[in-house]
Amino acid sequence: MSDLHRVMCVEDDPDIRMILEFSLATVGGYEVRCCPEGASALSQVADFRPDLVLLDVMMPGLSGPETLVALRELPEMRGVPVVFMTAKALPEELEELLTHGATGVIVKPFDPMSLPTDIRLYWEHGRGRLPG
Amino acid sequence: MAVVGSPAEGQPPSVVAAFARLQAQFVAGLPERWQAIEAAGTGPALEAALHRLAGAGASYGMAPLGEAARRAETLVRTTAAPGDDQQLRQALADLRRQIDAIVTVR
Repeated sequence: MSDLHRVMCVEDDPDIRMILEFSLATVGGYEVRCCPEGASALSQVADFRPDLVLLDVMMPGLSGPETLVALRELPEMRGVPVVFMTAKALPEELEELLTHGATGVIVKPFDPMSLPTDIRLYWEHGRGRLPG
Repeated sequence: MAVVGSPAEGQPPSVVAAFARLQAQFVAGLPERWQAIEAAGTGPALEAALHRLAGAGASYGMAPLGEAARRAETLVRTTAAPGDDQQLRQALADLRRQIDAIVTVR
């Protein structure tokens, strides 16, 4: 993994998926694939081979933490940082999310102009600390 | 604070234009969002509808809208009988005013 190119977003809200795509593709220049739920992300990882996954916490079906556990079972996800997105902003809630093995947490609402830089920092931080 | 701003200000014109298109689409969907909030009634369904709006508002340049949704969401979570709660009704009325102001401005 030499650079951050492909970002997978898992988010159930269509308006947030659109602003994520704008932020990461139009502003950040990344190749982006957005999935509306955890199950579709799991089925697309092998094809898309993300360098980083942005994962919403509260979703119908598989929650963010449940999706993360399942993603970590996939060989394609070895060494790939996963960053949670959440509108919960209490420090104890953010700490609890990190115990699931995420590299970081982005708090919603996020700034679509600075998000590409923020996730690059998480990618640089996370790739050296994860197995693979 | 203006009801509608643009985080894309100062970016290249193509980025500003792309953001403006997205913002217009989001605003066009606000009446439907409000209907979903009204239809949600009380409890977890209402909390979820408000939570989604709170998470999206400021990213679309509408911080006051997001804050109004967040206040209502918090009240739903912390109120034992939300349907009868004066504070929650007031917060929802404030949210409705924010939506009306945005839709009118656009």
